Amino acid sequence: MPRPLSPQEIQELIAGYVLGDLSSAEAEEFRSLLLQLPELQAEVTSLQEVLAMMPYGLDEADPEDGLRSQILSAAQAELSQRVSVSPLTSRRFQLRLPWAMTTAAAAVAIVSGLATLHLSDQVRSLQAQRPQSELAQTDITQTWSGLSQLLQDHQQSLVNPKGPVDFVVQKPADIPSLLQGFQTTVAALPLLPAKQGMLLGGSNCQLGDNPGLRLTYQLPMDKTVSAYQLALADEEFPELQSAQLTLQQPDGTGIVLWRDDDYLYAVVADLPTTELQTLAYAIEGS
Amino acid sequence: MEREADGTLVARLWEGDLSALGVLYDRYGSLVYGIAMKGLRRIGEAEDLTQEVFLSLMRTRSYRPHRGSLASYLTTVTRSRVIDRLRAQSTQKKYLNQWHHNQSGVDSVTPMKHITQQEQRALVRAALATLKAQQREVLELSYYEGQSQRDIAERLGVPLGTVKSWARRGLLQLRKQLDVLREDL
Repeated sequence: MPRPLSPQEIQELIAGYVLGDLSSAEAEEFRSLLLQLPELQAEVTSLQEVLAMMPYGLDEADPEDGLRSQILSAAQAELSQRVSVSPLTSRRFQLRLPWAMTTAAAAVAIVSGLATLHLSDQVRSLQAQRPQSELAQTDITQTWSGLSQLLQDHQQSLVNPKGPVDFVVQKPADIPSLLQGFQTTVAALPLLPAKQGMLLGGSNCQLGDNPGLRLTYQLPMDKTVSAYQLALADEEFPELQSAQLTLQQPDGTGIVLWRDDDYLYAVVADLPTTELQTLAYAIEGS
Repeated sequence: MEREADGTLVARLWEGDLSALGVLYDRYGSLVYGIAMKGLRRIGEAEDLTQEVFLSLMRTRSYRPHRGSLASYLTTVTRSRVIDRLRAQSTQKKYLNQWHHNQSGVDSVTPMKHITQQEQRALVRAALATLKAQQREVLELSYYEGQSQRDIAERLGVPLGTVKSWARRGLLQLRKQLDVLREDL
């Protein structure tokens, strides 16, 4: 057994964890410490709150007076625009997910070698109900705001000063009881085999009208992976059958999407697509 | 006059009431702008980002009052967007320091909720002033610019271990001082 840590060393380990600077050996040490002393979780929360207070220490910087009215007019312009496009929106989306076309702009997508989706900000129909063959022939031009929400959710979780997860879990069986507004079974969770990534915890999430969860994994080399499971009704996402939908953002962030009868799944991480697909298969197969 | 709760104002904003946006801007505009200025350092960009943050509050409807105060929601969103922009600007493709850690998810209500923003600012400023200069610098670089400890070590020309220890002890010291100062309130 290694020698026990002094209280000061424990404190510094917790601080390192909150700051996200633990080495992999330290992370392992911290993990086992947390298992022995679950009360340390309160310490983690307390230091996260302290970190989140940093902005209050900034010198007060008052923006120019004009900014207020500029923001209000931009908001006004956006509101009036929203009213004028709404009939189109509702016709387009009998799908309840807001897979509306907006900003994921420069992303390039590949549907398992069948078709290439060029994402642009043009508004086109999702063609969700088309059979796979037709999907393959059609060079679909679209973006999904569901997609950009997914990316945004992932990115925000990475830089959240309070950490990427709402709750820490020791074992997957604990997850369903910690969720709010979303029900699932352990078997349906997007679980990655332990040797491929360490489960940090889970979070409730809401993309559009669809409740779901995000599990956060840490891979070797400090890569953080978000695995999503979202509730879906049949008509809400194209039947991709066996296909996974793989997308790569210009900044290196990749997404793999797939679905079964009940859920839409996605993995998102700053990883090459092949590695992401491997992770997706590992999750699907687990 | 009774101060209207942030949550109520946000609900009004989502119903299309722009006067609510004005009030929220008056409350938090300076906080959001301050974080944007700290990270981006250019007035134009900071203004642009401030606008983006307030418009996204209206647009995304992702704020959930039961999960924490509006102030902490806005600071989190702002900080993350600042870091996104800095990353997009960075010519070298360096990975951000990722805050891979967890949160209990139970208590997102800050213990300081009852004090005003001005008092909170004074408190945090006083606590930060007790940190050693290096401790504070390292914390700020990683918090506002999302720099990894390794990048910071390189930038300051000190060993990685030293940077880690400054950051960790700085954070612990900050908490200690805040606790002391709060007791005096």
